[in-house]
Amino acid sequence: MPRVLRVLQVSKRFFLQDHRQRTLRGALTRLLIGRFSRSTSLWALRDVSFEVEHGKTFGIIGHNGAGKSTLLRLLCGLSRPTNGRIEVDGRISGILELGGGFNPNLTGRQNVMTAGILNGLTPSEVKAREQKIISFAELERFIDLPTRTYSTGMYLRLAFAAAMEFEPAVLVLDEVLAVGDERFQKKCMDRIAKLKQSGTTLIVTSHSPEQILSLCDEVLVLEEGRVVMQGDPQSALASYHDLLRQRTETRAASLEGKTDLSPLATEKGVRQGTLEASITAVHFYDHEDQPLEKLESGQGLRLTLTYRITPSINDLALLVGIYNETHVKCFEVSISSMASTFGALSPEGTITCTIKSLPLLAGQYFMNVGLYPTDWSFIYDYHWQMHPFHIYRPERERAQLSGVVAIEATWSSLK
Amino acid sequence: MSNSQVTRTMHLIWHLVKRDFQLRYAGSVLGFFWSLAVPLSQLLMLVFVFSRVIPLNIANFPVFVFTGLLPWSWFSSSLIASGGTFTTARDLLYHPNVHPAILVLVTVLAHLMTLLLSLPVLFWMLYWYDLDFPWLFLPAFPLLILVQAPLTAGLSFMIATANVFYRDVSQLIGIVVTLLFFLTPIWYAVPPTSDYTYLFEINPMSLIIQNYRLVLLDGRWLDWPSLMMASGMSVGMLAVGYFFHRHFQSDVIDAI
Repeated sequence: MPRVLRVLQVSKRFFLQDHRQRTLRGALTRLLIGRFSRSTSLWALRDVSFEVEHGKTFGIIGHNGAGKSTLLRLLCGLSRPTNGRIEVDGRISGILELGGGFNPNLTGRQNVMTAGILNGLTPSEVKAREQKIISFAELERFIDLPTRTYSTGMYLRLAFAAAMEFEPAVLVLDEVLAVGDERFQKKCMDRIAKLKQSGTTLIVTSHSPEQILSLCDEVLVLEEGRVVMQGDPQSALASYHDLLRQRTETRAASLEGKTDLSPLATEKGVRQGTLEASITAVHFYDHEDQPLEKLESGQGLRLTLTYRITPSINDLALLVGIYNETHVKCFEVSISSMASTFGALSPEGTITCTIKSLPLLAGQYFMNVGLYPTDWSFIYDYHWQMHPFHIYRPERERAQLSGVVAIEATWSSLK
Repeated sequence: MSNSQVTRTMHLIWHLVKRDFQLRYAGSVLGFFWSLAVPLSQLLMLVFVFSRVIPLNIANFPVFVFTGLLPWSWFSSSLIASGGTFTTARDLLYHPNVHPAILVLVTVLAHLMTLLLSLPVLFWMLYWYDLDFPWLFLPAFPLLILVQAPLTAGLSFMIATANVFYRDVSQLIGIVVTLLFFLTPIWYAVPPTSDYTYLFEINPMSLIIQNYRLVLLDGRWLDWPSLMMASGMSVGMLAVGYFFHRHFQSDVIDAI
């Protein structure tokens, strides 16, 4: 298979300067103090090498700050590597950050024209594709307004539609699949599938393991600017989760004795985390506020979760998932910032989650709950299989059921 | 560079020049006619002051001033605009197909458009003052443009690059351009004898403007020695500007 992209021992160093605008005065001061004040540098990427074959979908994962964005920017030519080389065979086009790409003072139509010409099309070729782009982005009524008046969603829809219509050899998609409503996401996924079929090489990053699994042929795991591994999506995700655990353990070790939260005894299941924030109690109640250990399939459930945090923490991400006995995830919900959802956090508090109806088949289930920092880079406290509950089938049910979800099926027979 | 790449680059440059106008005059009623407003208003004021208030007694004074103002406006407005050539074009500079030189070229070309649009006004003035139509201007004009373009581009390259790191540069350029306006023979003729004639010999814009006048007002052909001198300085400036930019290129992209 021909290689379409080659990244050879690429490194990128950034100089960290203070964030104030550089002025002549600053330069004169630096000159007087000496050049060494400038030399705090950060290697965002170190010796990264990989190759992507033509027509493959290549995923890049790593937690925030691992170098994903820097790498994508280098791939799109938005920055030059400090060392190493990047060879691209053909046109590379990407949707990266929101600011880049469109000029806010020009209309959507004018921006599409610029983007098309930048991608090597002639004005008449862009004109011919314009209508398709506008209708895919669903911006018929807004296309002649300046893009500064667009919402984030509108802006990205246009960027996405344009990037896909210009037929690049390599398309870089950075987390864009997380934007837009579900219907539009579905439309994008369909379009991406078509691009894959037509032989476009895709490079994607995503926080969603499901998307990585369903899209990618090969995945690269980055950690602190270095390649940890490159391989099939399954093993890459496993290695990514290992890194999360390692980071948590390293951090917990460095905090030893510094937190007053001693690990609670765990009767069953597995508990993991640095315990800077901890879940002190999890309770289930039925609709009459009675504590509950089992409930009928289809009935509702109220979950209360009591947490305690050390003073240095002012925001948390929360994860609640329902898993069955065979570790299949039946449902998961996450809140990426508790402070912005519930207001400022007190040192101790209780969160209530009401689930109207749990249409799951009878059996043993676990409520797995976790607290994370808002960038999900390690774990504060995660309870795996520590909070079980039972679901039993209603008496009236007669048929044999299997699967995950309890779907009501009505039977009749004509003789 | 293959042939299709050349056409593509041409398309890109032409599109970006148009875009520059769209951006500058977005939402205004008169649109690009505003670009003519600066030289024309300056013309009115200079003519009023130096033919009524303090008469300089130069023949056909309005035409005289306008022949100086046209090349000067192209020069000065390009330099002032070049402060933003890189800083306001993140979206373009991030694109792998856009070489920074293209953006500098676009700035210079966009302001050349203003000069081209002012030519009908110049011809109308020649007619109004009963001057002969200067046929020699037709072949001389492209040459004069070719001499001035590298000078403007070289300086713009340097200003655009330096302004990425020090926003002070564009402020400074505003002052320098104003001062140079008085040191360039735009509304006065170069005095035949003076202790300061060298000031006009080392100023390429002065040499260029004098050549404009030779052709447009005196009906004579270009003065080769002074024009060669100007082109020498001009090409030198382009080289300096380009190498200055090359030295800082990778930093520009990260700092923007």
